[in-house]
Amino acid sequence: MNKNKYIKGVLKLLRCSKQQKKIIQLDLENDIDMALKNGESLEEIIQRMGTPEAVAKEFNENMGVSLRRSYKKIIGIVIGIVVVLGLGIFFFIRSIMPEYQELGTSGLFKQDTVEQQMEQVILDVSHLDTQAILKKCDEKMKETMTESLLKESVSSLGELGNYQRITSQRYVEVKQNNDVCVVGEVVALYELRSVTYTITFNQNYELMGLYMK
Amino acid sequence: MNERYERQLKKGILEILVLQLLSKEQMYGYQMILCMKEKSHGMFEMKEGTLYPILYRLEDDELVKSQWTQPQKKELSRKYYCLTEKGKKQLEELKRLWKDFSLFVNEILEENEHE
Repeated sequence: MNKNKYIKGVLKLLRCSKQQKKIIQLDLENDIDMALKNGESLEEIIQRMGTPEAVAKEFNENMGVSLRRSYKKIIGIVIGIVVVLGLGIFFFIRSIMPEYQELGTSGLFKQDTVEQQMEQVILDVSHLDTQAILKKCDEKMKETMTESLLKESVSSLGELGNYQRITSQRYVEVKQNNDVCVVGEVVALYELRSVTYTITFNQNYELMGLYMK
Repeated sequence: MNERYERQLKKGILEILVLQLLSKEQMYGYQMILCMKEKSHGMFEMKEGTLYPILYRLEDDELVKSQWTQPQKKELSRKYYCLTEKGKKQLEELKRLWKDFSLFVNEILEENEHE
């Protein structure tokens, strides 16, 4: 039996990770080399150390604990990955979800200007000035908004009578994906009834949404 | 004698002895086995399969550190172990613990002899 065969015999029977086996291989080689240098013969060394089975058995019995430790490490790593993934998903969803904040928070919208622009849209709608409305729409709205659609929406409100004034208004800024827009719920009083408009502007006061009921 | 009981008794104590050996000087694995055998008059004849798992555990806990020597010319590169600062402190604590342990164990064991 030569040195390498002996060591390989031990390694084969070991129940531990490949890395651990590599470390043990180096340590055993080291030991045997030093014993040889010390004057022992290979037979004497093998007799002293024991058969490969006996040596492997000894290692396995004493390394039960370190096996558990590498499991603990793996569990630790898995938990770490799950936490990082979880945080990633959480922040991703948060960034997608719209955030509501008070008008003025972003500094992009001034109360006066917003009120003015909102009323202007309502006036345009009331006078069925579809051209003016279409001009104000942003890219996306332009795709869907048509003259007929606008006229239909207004007529579905029924007879309104003349526009009188705005009776109440509420504004909020909506932040989503770093874009901020302003949404207003404005109640306009007409001769015959009130209409609640929900109007959305982007930063350039282009129309992003228009609802009326 | 049932080997398992002997092994149980030796468990734990061997770690202290390894730390103690390394507190005097850094050693190679083979050296430790010989040294232990000599000093214990053959009582502690540690096998590689016992010594190395102990050293690996101690290294995991950062109580010892292993290093390879820089060989001169044709010499083999050898792996030796040495005690860390953390290991030194742990050894002192364990020595104190052992002193108390052995005191009480002896008391209790001698107690039964008188009865």
